[in-house]
Amino acid sequence: MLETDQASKVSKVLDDDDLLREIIIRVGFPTTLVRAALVCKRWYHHASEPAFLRHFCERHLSCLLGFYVEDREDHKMASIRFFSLLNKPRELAAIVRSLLGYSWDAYRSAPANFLCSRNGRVFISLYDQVNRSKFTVGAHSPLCPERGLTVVPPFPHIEIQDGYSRTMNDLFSVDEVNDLSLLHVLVVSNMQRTKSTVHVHMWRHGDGVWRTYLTLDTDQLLDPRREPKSVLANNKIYIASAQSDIVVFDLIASSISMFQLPQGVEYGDTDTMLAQAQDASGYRVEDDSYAPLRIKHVGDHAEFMFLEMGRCALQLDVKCMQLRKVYVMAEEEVRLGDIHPLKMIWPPIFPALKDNPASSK
Amino acid sequence: MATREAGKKMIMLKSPDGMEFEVEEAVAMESQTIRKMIEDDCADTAILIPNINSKILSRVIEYCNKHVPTTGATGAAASDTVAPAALAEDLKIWDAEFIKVNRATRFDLIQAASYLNIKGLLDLTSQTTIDTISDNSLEEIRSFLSTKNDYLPEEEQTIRRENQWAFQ
Repeated sequence: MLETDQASKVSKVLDDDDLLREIIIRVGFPTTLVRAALVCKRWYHHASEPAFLRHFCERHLSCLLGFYVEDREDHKMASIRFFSLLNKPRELAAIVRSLLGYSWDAYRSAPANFLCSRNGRVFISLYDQVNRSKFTVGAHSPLCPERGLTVVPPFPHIEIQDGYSRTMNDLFSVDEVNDLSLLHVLVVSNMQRTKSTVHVHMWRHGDGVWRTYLTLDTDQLLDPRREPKSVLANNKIYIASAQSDIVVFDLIASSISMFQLPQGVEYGDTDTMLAQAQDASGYRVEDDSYAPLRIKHVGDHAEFMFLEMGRCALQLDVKCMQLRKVYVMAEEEVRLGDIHPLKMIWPPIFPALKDNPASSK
Repeated sequence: MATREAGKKMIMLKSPDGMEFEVEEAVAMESQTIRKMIEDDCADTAILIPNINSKILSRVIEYCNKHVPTTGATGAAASDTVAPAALAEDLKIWDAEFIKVNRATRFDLIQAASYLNIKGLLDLTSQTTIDTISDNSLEEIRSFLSTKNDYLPEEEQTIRRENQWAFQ
């Protein structure tokens, strides 16, 4: 009697769609959300709804798992080390173990570069020992080692006509349901520096080659900078150009537009970054390289920053306005290596199910 | 409807089983649902709270009493004088005691917290369910929460494969 009474009270709450959503949104971690979605199809239906996922994201921010320190020695990779920033929540303990246990030894003393980490993947470029202009990119999944290493085919080769010069080579990962997709952007200009062509190629996991995605010609000179790194947001690529321009490639409208940084602001020599802001426009942070504080990395939506001060790395949580020391250099370290934050995978992948339950129950 | 300076304005809450609870307006307004009724001037005499029996309603009032920001003579919040950390710690201990109830009561409280829109109480009452989801195998979750698995094995496999990182 008591047992069935209890069960009926539980059902009364969980059968109510609004209450069920109120409970699932509180699970906090993407890992737990995926588990909740597997309870039954009705739960899956709620957990995978785009509006629900947006709320979940707003409520819990993106989960910064930790950061990699990339140490270099004589233009070679010395080591890649992972440092966890989590206060040991039990829900993510297994993930942190797998991150700490992931071996990067294969790159030790190799001519390799830590490119970036995107949605749980880490991209490392490895240069050819003989021909230094050739390199391959390895996409690692340290959050899920069973996925193994994906080797991205060599970047597309563009036949450059006489008189044209190459100015930029960049790589973006695209979040897609079907595994990994990458975009490659190449900007070439003519020798007279009067016009430019933008080549965008796409590679999908499983493809042997890159395919042309978009080619844009413009009568303006595009002069992309190596730093700050470009940003892909809302199907637009934002690239820092010349002294104070931001060039925007719209991948949907196939158009190029350009706008200028606020008056008086220019790209300095170093330490400038573009990051994605809440409204998915470009966001720019710059520091004064003479100050003892240097910006190492700015997260999307400027939600966090990594700073270098003296022999320490600091993490600034912009939303909570909290600053904490996350790394202290050892005595033998000469300089602080590059810092690459690693965030939790988001959103989870919810494939379409054959038979969707009726929305009520 | 402004609070008179002398004395505290009281509100009458009625449960469907006929019990009446006289509570301070500030306490009742911990519930966003009641706050809206008061602000819309729909609460001159007594407010009937449907679907929440007197046993549960009295627990909800107990919670609101504890969590209402108390105001001193000057109108400044009392938490200005007590260290906020100590106050938060005290509330946490109180909450932990408050939620030591059986499953049926807890789920009744979830329903009440949701209807009355009391965020803190909903957070507190749903935490045990969230822990159940975080800490148990899928079979255990389904059995604890009386839900039936309606996945085909291959569907479950697909979701697991696409999100392998969540099942380390």
